[in-house]
Amino acid sequence: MTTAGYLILLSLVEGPSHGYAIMQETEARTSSDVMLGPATLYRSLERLLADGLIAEQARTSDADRRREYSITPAGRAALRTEAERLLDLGSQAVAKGVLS
Amino acid sequence: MNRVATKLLAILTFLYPSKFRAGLADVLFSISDSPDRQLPPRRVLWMCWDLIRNLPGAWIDVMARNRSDVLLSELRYGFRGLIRSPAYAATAIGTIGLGVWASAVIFSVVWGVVLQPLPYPGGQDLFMILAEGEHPGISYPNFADLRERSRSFASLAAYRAPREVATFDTGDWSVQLSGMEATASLPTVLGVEASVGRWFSETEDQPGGPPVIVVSQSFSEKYLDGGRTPPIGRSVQIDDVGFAVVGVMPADFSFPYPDIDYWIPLRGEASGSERARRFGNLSMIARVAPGGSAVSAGQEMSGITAALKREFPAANASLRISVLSRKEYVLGDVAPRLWLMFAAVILFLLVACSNVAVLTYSRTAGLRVRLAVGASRLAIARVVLTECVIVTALGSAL
Repeated sequence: MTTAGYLILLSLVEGPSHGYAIMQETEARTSSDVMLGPATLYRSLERLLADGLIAEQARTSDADRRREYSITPAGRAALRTEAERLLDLGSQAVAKGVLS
Repeated sequence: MNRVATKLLAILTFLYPSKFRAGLADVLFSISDSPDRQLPPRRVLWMCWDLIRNLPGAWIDVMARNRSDVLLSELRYGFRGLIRSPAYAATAIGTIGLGVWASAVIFSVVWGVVLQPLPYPGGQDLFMILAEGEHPGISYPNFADLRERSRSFASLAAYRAPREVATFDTGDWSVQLSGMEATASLPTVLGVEASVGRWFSETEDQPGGPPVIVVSQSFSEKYLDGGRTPPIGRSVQIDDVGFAVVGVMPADFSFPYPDIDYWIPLRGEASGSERARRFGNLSMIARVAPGGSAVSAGQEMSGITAALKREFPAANASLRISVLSRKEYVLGDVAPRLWLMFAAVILFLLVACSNVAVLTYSRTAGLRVRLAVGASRLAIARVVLTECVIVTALGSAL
């Protein structure tokens, strides 16, 4: 899973969100270390949709032009697996004394 | 977002594939519709850079997806077409199959005999030295003189098969082995080394030398403790003679032909009688010296042969020596006929292909319908090409 895909899934855990909100949430959560641009975001969303990890929400009104995305059960499972993998990698770094 | 930023992002978005444009516009809408939509210029520039950076990847994504969709659809159409016309399919696949089979058979012969390089380092520098006289082959005294006088060859080696098939006593039963007598110089000529132990030395290759033997990897594995422990120094009984194993050759080594089990020293006498010089059954192989060539080596061999005829007229009256490449040695005068056969088979394959092309052209009704409903010439070409690929693949698989 790419870093962008992981961060997008993480943004959608608390509920459906639209593109710009995902960008802002990611930026705030990583203290601006990771900033998703519009093209990076859209390509990642496309891949996650194709893999069935997120789903597009139906639009609530015609006035609302923004598309909203929600995480699917498969997306939650994939996110959990990836988080466990990262945690394991981090604990290996701690064991080697790279991190304290 | 201000108007300039919006225009700039819109222009960059326009460069994307149409499928991406809609989605990107959606993301940009979500930015422009947000309450804090006044983005700082630095942020706008960064977004522009993101759009530029992802542009090639987006086009690659779209092209890869389109191509795989189109390919699958064409393959399906091609298979359906062949199933609908079983007579055409059987004829085309059978014709191509026959052509490919004949070409493959002849090519495998040409490759194995002519084109495949020798499995030795610097194989192009190896030459067979063919000696003919009253009998094919050369005697050891003549070989020793050739080796001593030659300057064109870096090293020469002689070898011969033992007169009778050797019998090896395993302890439980007897097996027949295929062996070879060779000079100590053979590995130097071929550029190979024993994988375990060593080849026999010049001292061991002298008359009255100790009985030593070099065995093949398969012999060692089959009869000497499964090759688990190095068999160096072990004694093996061949034709009731005990030989001490001094080396094991690599698994991929077998000279002069496949499935040789062992090599023992030739132990020839250089100063033999007139009769010993006259009759010999040795074969020779040599490695040309750096900077030398087959032509110069051949001229030198002619000179040495003339000298040997003068010095030993009774024994060498009919001696002829020629230097041949492996191809010339194996093929002799068959080479032109082999190439002619290869050309004939290639021609046969071309005729088979043209027959299939005519058959394919005769079933263009379906394609005309496609053309009539607006298919491009490129799409039609793709359909025909895919069908040809399927026919060729199935024909070759036969």
